[in-house]
Amino acid sequence: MDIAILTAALNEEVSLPPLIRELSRRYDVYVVDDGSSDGTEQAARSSGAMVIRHSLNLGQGYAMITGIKAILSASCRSFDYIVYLDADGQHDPSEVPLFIRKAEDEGLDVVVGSRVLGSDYKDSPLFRRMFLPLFTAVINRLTGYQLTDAMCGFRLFRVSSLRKILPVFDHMLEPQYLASEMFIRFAKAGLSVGEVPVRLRPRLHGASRKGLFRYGYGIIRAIILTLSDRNYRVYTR
Amino acid sequence: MKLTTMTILIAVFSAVQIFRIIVRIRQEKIGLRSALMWIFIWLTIGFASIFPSFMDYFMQIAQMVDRMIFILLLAVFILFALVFTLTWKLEKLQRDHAKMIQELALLRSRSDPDDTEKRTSTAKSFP
Repeated sequence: MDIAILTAALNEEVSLPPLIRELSRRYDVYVVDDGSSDGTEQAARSSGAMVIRHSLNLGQGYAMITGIKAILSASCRSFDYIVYLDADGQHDPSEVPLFIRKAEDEGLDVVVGSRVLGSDYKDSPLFRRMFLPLFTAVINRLTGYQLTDAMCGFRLFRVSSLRKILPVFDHMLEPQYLASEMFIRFAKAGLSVGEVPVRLRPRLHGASRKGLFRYGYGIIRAIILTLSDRNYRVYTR
Repeated sequence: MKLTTMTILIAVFSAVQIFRIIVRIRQEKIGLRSALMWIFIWLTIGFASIFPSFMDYFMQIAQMVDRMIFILLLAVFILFALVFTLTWKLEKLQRDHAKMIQELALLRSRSDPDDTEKRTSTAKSFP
């Protein structure tokens, strides 16, 4: 079984190399350097990852889409699954097999990590404990999924399912706030989604760049735009 | 028709703006569509400053009495419409710009000899 690990990095030259070294023993690692101004690209390459570089910063969602397209169009390799995780080292690579096992056992198209099911959720920041259940409830209502954490960036995608819905990625309206739009479009396309519990590790370096209000506004905007999109119902299998 | 310093200033300013637009059309720095729109706006402003009674017909339709309030409301309405159009165009430009950067990144990665070598040599399989 061939697994590609995908991560998007912005100015992560310190935290990226240990993560890549940890992952590249077992998986093929793809890094999308999202317009970093430090040595992220060189650090990723010298650690053994394949690097796709955005010449300007576009945001995590755009970077993920670029990475997925790069992996799907790789002519000399064909993967069974793509696992996306954050470049800051908060997602534990040792949990990747849990995602694969879940997808294999239940035949799921997408498996997402759940920090709520993971035991350290009670210690997470107040903003996350307040905002996450609300956002997840909205996504569940709109999609019919039964998620407990719709905002976790640790995700697995079945490649054969992604290929069927590839045009979806060309029509994302708010890729900066990918999570909401992605689940709504996946539900419309009939993709099955499951969850596995994950634990967050402390960041290896730096601080989160997600502002509370900007992020919240972006997510609400993405939901409204997606629901009002004329092509909303088109991309179904 | 009663010309005051203010009305003359507005009329002259409108004429200068129209002249600038014409220069930009000749230099091909502005599209014909937006040039025509701005010429129409400045012509209307200049004409209305010299012949204010020209607005009375529209004030009657809008059932308004005060000419100043009518002008202010009209200006705000036009500005909102312009800002809305600009926002919409800017968002479209941002999306197109992002797609171009993505396409460029993918093209570069396909032609990168280092990565091509890695793709063929480091195939790993999950047990």
